[in-house]
Amino acid sequence: MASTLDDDELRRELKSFGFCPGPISDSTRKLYLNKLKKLGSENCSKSRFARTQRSHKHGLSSTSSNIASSPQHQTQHSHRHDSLRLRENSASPSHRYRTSSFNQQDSDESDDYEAYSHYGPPAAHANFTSYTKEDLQKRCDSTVKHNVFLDRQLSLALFTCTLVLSAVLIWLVYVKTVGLGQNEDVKNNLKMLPVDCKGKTDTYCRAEEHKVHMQLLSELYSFLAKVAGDFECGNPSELKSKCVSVDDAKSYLAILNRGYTDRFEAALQMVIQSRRDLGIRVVEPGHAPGAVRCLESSQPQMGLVCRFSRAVSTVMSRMFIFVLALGVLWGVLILLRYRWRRLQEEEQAMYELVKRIIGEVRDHYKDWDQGLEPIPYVPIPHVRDSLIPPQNRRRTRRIWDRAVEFLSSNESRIRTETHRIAGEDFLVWRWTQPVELSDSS
Amino acid sequence: MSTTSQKHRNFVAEPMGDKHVTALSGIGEVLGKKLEEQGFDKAYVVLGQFLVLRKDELFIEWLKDICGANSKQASSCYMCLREWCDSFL
Repeated sequence: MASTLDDDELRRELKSFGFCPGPISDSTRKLYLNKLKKLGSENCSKSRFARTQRSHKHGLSSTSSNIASSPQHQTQHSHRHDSLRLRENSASPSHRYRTSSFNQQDSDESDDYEAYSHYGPPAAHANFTSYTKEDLQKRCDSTVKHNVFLDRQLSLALFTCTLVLSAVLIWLVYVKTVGLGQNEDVKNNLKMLPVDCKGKTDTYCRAEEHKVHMQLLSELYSFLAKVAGDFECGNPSELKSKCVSVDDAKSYLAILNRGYTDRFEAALQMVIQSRRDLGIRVVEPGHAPGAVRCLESSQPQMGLVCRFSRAVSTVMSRMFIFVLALGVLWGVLILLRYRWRRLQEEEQAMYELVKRIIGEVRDHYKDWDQGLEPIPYVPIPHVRDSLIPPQNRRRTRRIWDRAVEFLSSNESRIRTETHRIAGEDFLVWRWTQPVELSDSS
Repeated sequence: MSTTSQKHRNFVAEPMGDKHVTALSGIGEVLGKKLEEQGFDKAYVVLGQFLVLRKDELFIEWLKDICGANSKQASSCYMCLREWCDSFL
């Protein structure tokens, strides 16, 4: 039936379905005849389709919104088609694509369902944006989590190290201050029992004599220790050395007890001959002129404060390396934390910029669609200049470059191309997604 | 991400001038020869047919009919010409 139509009738028939054919020539006639057949069968199925789909208000609004973004009744569908067809002259590919694909897909019911689901629930888009936002957030969060974990581990480790080290230091200081009973040995050697036993040489007397010598020595010991302690701890009496000359020692002991003077030499001999450590050292005169034989204490007696400060300084000087290393590690940790925070901030800024860029490119495409813009793509520098005010451009160059890189590799709806605009080559962004998918209306 | 071929990108990047029909995306040696036999030896002749069909998707069917291209090749050629028109027409 259709094959007997001549060109004018064919044209009229096609127009009645809202389809505007081009010149009907030898090459195109067969095509238009097929098209007419398709439109005819589609019209029948569409009325069937309308009845089944009437219950789905959602489907109605979505399919009609694809055409003119306003709710329509199904019967007006073909007329809308018509007016849209006339708009083809504006050369908007999206509309033509939509309607033509709709025509193709309306040939049978199963395809209609496909179209409906394809232009599907607009609510999905809201989820989509929130998903991408969440996705970005999650991407952001995962890096944050990673950093926080590492951060926490490192600071915990360093903290324990510091605690352990300080405990060790305190213990060492205590040990040095109090001592560990080194004096006991010497003290035991010096017991006191005053007995007069001059001249006699029996064992008892010798023992008594020994005791007196010990007593003498203990006095001498404490005197020498005090002198040594004064000398070590700030030297208030400005002694030249902690070594006390024999004469000075003798005179001191004489002050304490007259009886000591006789026994002094004997006691000294005992000290020299003794193998045990009595805490008194006899320093023989060296070869320097004017040096005298002197005595000095091997265990200076110092005040608590003095001992404590000496202990601290000794321990610190010995443990200097460890303390330094710990300090350096803390410094490194603080630097790392600062760096991580900076990186995070930069990433946030980059994702924010990426979102704005996507919005800008999409808006540009929408404007072009409506005929407000002459070209469907927008040069990258122009986007940058419209998003970032001049005073920030130099500052945010790094973030911008990262955003551009992210877009070219991770955004599928924007395509990067090179085009010549007004004689100059530009890298441009073109929005490639059909607009209705991104509309959240 | 872009799924256009290098051929497509090459074609839409500049005016087609006197390019052979095989420069079109989707048209290889075999299809090119068949189109030549039908008189479509240059890309601009195919463009002519595309424009006569008002840049409609009927072009795809026409192409399939005239040289036996499959859907993918014909769609590719259609997209290529359409984009070219967007940029240069």
